[in-house]
Amino acid sequence: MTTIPHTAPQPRRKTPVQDASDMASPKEAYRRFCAQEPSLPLFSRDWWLDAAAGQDGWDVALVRKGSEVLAAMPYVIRSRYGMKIITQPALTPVLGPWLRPTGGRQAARLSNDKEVMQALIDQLPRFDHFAQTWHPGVTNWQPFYWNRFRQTTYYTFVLSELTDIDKLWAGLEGKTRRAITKARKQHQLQVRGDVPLDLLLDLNRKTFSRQGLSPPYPDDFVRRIDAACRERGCSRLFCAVDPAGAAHAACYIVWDEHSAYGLISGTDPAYRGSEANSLCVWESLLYAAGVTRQYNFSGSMIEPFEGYMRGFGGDHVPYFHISKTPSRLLTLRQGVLSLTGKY
Amino acid sequence: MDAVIQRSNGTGGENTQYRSDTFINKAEYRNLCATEPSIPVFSNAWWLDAAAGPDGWDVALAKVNGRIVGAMPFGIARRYGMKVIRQPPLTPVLGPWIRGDGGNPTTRLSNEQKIMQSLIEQLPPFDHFSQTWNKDLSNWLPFYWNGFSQSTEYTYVIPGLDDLDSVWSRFDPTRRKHCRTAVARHNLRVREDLPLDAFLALHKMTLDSRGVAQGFTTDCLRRLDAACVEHKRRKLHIVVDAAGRHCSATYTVWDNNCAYALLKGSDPDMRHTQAPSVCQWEAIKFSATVATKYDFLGNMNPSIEPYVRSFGTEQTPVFTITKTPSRLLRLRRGLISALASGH
Repeated sequence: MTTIPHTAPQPRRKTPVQDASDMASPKEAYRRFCAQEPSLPLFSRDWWLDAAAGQDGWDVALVRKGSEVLAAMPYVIRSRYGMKIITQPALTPVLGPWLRPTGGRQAARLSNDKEVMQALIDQLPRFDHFAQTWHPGVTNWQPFYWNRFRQTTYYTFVLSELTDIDKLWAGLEGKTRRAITKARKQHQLQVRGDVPLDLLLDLNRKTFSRQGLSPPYPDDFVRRIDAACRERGCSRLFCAVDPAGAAHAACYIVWDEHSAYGLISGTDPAYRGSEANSLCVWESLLYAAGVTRQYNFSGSMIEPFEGYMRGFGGDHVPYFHISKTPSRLLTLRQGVLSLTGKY
Repeated sequence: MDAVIQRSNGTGGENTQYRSDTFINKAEYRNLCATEPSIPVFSNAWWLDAAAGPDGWDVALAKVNGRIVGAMPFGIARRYGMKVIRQPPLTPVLGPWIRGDGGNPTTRLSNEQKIMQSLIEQLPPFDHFSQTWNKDLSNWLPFYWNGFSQSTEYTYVIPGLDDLDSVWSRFDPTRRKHCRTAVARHNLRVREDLPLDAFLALHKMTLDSRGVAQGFTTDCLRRLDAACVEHKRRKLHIVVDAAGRHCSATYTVWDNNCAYALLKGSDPDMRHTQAPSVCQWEAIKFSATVATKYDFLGNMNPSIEPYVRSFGTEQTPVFTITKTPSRLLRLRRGLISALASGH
């Protein structure tokens, strides 16, 4: 951990208790589990949550049988106006339950889901509002339905097979292929990975401000995440630069053993015509092919963006947003807001 | 969507226009239903005529060069002066039908979204919209872009009916035992020649034992039953014991793709005979002669779900799509959920 800025929460926890996983607190046991279980999405891992929410900003519900973890559900909890809110940190597209695969028949799996998800729910602290977006791998939310949670479906695009580059190229929509070629040939853009993070932050800010917005996270937050990822060698920045040295666009991906995730991107509005953005994403795909199995665009439900992502030929993959608002006050507030809104 | 909301304040002229459009649309849709085998049974014009009455439903059509490429039938009702689009009685699922025109998945997705957008634009003004979609529909994005909400429920489906041995082997061992031994032990037999009234009596017993009211009028079921018989789309199985007593019944309907457990009924006093399992297995065996899948149509009820699961079913997501442009109805919903909240 070389470059954690001074605003970061202090690393690091005390040395884990010597043995006996049964004796350890769920969070300590979960930290050990994170180090061993490659199928745990990186956004659910302890170090990611330390960076994104602070060491005391998250906790975990854990179902164990002996020393084996059967299910885990990390969550980030915040207090706002005296309300307890369980929510998703910025730049953390998915967070939610992980269940040990049971194998066997689906009937047995559903019965296991019911049991362990109920155990997870029972361990959640009292909250006034809960909102989590789950990994696409979790497709059964019924036990949460029985506990009066709500669900809606979001979509992302996923390239599930990165091994065959020719096939990836052939799978692009014509407009995307042309955009990438144009960026390379006509604008002579080169994609570089050795540029400072500040360049990405700057381009990202420009993208937001073009829409009259500012990024929903401070620069230091991104620096903290980046430092944690770089320490583990699971992130990379791609920046398209023209022959004069001007940065047109950049994108930033992170990955685990299973999938890469497009996390941040930015384009300088002055160079929008150069299609640098598509080139960056394409290069990030090629790179991801060397380090993991899939590429997840960390989907957007926003219409123009959806069309752009669709151009890369990924599968349209649903994932769940789960929420619950036990607080009467907050429910009433949502009701009033829905009256003033369009829907 | 703005267009639709604004149209609700529209002039009488537009209404007249809408009525004549309706007439032409429905005529075209009737023709489509007569020639297009991929339209689900519940979406068929004859089904809707019977279940909702000829004036109780309407359809939005999307065309390219005069050819229908998409259709979305819906039930209409007026309640307290509000116009409500909702599921007609006895019609578990509806939803957009999209012509399958091949192409690669990306093109298909893009076409599907264009067609859905055009269907949404043709919906008449409404105060509340609620529709449960058939299980083949897994993309609601265009509805999201138009201000609708979505939630996932589950149905349970037995696939691969062409291989009944394998279907049987996927049943829970206890379920298999019940189906195998009950017939001999209790002298049961399955009759297919009993009248609808025999079914209605058993259905009523089930409702009474659960303390719920019948969600449709008996007249409506009689009308629908006559239509189903006319179109050869239904089968009634009733299990009787040696004394001729009616124990359990299933009401199966089907289309070219799937058979559905539309209704069931059992005498609670005869449950020890395992007649419901026997009847269910009979309905599944029959369904194998007319379709490749058997759909239990639900169930999210935690006490029934294990029973349905025991038939070796696959949990399959089903979408419910809603929208409430009416502020009054939103206020009502907001208050009700605030009162129902926990603290």
